[in-house]
Amino acid sequence: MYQSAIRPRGCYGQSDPDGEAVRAGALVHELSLAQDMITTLTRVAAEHHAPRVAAVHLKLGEFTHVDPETLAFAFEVACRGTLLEGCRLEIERLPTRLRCPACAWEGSATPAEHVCPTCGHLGFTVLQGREFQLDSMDIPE
Amino acid sequence: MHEISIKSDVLADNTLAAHHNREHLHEHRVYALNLMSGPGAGKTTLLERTIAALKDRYRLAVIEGDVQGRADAERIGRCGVPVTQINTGHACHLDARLVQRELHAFPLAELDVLLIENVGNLVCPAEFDLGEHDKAMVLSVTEGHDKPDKYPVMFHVARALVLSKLDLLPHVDFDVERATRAARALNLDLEVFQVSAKTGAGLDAWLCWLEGRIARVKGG
Ligand SMILES: Nc1nc2c(ncn2[C@@H]2O[C@H](COP(=O)(O)OP(=O)(O)OP(=O)(O)O)[C@@H](O)[C@H]2O)c(=O)[nH]1
Ligand SMILES: [Mg+2]
Ligand SMILES: [Zn+2]
Repeated sequence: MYQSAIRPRGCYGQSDPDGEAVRAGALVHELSLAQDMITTLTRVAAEHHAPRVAAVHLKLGEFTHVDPETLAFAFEVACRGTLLEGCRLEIERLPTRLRCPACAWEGSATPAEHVCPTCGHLGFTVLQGREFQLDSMDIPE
Repeated sequence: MHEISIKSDVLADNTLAAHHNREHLHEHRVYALNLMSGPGAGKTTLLERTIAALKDRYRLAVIEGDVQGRADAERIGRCGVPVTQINTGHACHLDARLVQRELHAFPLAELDVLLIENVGNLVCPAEFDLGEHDKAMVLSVTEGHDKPDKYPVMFHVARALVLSKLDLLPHVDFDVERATRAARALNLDLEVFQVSAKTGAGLDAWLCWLEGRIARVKGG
């Protein structure tokens, strides 16, 4: 049964069996993020009198709930009819980096037992992974 | 090719709107709480209990966020406090701009506390600051103790976690200790409460924490 339009959980990152419905709902969300990106990019391009944009560089941490593939697709769709149409979106993924505040152990994922593998401390600081930033754009000379 | 540096957060507009909301709240010394959870974890029921306990001592108001419908706003309305419903349509979370519209319409000078119930969703609300003072999460024992491992961002941004529906604990395999540990692993300062809104067990500790947070803003 197709019911995405009224699904409150139709959203990226949700584990949900009927994939089609999720993707339809997911797109709505990523589309709004893509539109926010385009607002900023259009403004910056105008400030530099750029008629066209060749590439956009985005930094996206892994400790976010933004899905890079869905975002890339939503961005491509949302660019149509704007000066960004056809530009390349390059997403740099920043891995999650956790640190134990007690012994300075660093890792990329919470250990299965949730405590520091070297000193047993509970609780980590997130050093990296929360980024979601437009870094730069390339414009033709 | 010519490279132009941008270095701007994609959510910068939301952050700006959240900052604006924060200033409004600050100006009138109104404490705001953003209550988040997956669908049906018990946010509205916890709010009903919280309102009943606090409404004689604080001037409360509620913003209800839902994809559609007014059911939760009607429940809160029956508690005898002002409530407004935001329907997000397709969006799976509240954002600062949606809340801003409501804030401008609220008589903030006549309020002490604003309780915001976010859209039931364990994912997206975590990314959107509303300008609130605190984010609190509700996780019901029927959802499973693996949720902090599967949806870590939400547990990372919350200041308090209410483990809810504790009266159902005998019927489900929910490891309270494990859920608490998993949630705290990525949030060193997280306060965790065990509550049954049905029986009232554990409510006092939650209310005590909340009143402490309100006092920081009201200076009481
Ligand atoms: N047994 C038990 N049931 C509860 C408790 N709290 C809430 N419920 C029930 O759980 C269901 C969902 O509760 P709500 O308070 O509507 O949950 P919610 O998080 O507001 O739901 P949405 O706004 O739809 O996401 C209702 O049937 C409640 O009666 C509790 O402490 N114990
Ligand atoms: Mg509700
Ligand atoms: Zn350690």
